[in-house]
Amino acid sequence: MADLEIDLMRHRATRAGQRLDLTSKEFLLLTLLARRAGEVLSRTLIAESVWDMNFDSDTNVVDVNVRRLRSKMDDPFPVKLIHTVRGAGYVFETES
Amino acid sequence: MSSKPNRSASATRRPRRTLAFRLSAAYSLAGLMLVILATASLYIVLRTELDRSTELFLADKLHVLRTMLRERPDDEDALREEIELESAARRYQQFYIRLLDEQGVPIMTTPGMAEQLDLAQLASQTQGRFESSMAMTGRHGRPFRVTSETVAVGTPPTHSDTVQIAIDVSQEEALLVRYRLWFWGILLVTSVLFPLVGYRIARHGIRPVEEIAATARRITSTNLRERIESEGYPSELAALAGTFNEMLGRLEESFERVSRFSADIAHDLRTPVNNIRGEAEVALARPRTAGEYRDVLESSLEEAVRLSELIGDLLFLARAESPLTEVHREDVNIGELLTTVRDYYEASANDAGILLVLNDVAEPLNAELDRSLMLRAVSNLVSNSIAHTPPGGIVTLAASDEDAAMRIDVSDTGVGIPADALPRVFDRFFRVDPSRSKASGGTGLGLAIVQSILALHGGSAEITSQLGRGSRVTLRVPALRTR
Repeated sequence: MADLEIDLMRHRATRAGQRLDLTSKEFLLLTLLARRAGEVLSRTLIAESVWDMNFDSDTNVVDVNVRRLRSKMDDPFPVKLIHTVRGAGYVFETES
Repeated sequence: MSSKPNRSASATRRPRRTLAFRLSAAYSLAGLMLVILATASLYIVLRTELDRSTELFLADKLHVLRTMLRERPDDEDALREEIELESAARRYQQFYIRLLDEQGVPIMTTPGMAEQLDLAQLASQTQGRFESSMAMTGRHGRPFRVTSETVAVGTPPTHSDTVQIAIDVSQEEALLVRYRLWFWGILLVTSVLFPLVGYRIARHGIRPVEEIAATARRITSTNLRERIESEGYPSELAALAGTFNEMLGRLEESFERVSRFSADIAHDLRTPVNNIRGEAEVALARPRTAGEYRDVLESSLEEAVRLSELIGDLLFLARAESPLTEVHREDVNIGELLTTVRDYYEASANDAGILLVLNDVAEPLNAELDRSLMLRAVSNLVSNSIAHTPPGGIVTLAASDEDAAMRIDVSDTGVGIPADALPRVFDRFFRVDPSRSKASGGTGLGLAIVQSILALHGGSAEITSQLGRGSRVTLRVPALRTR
């Protein structure tokens, strides 16, 4: 996807050939977003899929985690992959 | 609806007696019984005493005559004085004596005896009876006691005479009649007096009950402040009034809480709705570009999400209170549960400069819990702790086995809670500092939800706090361990 590669077997992700230093939860989050690219994922759904928090939890926490993931895999690169949909959640897209 | 007419029908069939009526009836009955018992026993005593004195008198007379006839059978003067004169001299309790020889021929008789008594009847009635006297009615209707005895004459006895004695007991009979009259009189007076006095006493005794009832009737949700003045009440009723007042106190408190709760709900719902409304009004004031409309819609969506979260929380609390709510218990590893929470909040805590620590759980702690509910409870606590702990602080998660209960602690080194606010932190919409609610985004329902989740599990939630040093919330759930 664009210049992002995810190696599910080895739990590793690289962007533009650079290895991304992700925690296991960040890796899970990235995989979730990438698998359902183009689909707007709500914070609740993300919290449930990645952290197993199956209730309307404190959704700010998802924002914090997405921000951290972005700082590692989006910020250093010109093309942004994770986009915020206000009020709804996040979407993984190659073009905005 | 159908039960009402039934009840009124049965009420008319069997009229309910008032307590005052029952009490005064019981008083009067007991009083009357007592009076009857007392007067009747006095009457009986009086009667036996009178009988006894008559009997003694007769015995005395007989003894005198017997002695005279035995010792001095020829002293006729003394005998005459004894039989004819002494009796005639008496004005009250007259007695008559007749002395008969062996053939039944009268030797000496008290004057007027034949006039008063049927002597033949006397003779036949007393025939063969020596033990005691017997009643007999004289010719003029006067009551007499009569007796007769065969007496030996002379020493040694030459022959034997018969002595007949009759005594007029009309004085005694009259006394007994007067006494009976008094008896009925007293009975009549008391049977009127007792119910009246008893009723007054009963009325006086139950007046506090009526006052309590009157107060209870007056009380509605608007004047729950009213209390029963129990001063001067007897201790039993003062206790009743006290209990009633305590109940009113609890009612007042919960009414206040409910009304505060609805005011809080209204307030919290108004803000997002006003925001949506304001933005829509501004947007519609003039034509906008598609991007501007998009902005407004997105903003509205955010507010709507906030609203629906708030409503979701309220619904959750309302459902948790319903006795029909079921807890879906499963075997949960508590260490794992805490790890899940730690993982989820770790990033937020780091962002806020807070260390989120999960103390090692010594052994695998398992309990039968509703996993998602407990997850929510612990999450709420951690979220609260992070929000109220300044950078550099530590939030600690710990679990331990207390035999009867599984214990989960969430403690922080945060701002703490003032002691006077501590008892209320589990109340809905209660915020220690109302001004920070918007900034932290909390609804003020977090701890209320924690408490109701623990209540659903049959457990408890307790909080201790030191202002400026931190708080600790302890959750305990019954250890329904899987074997």
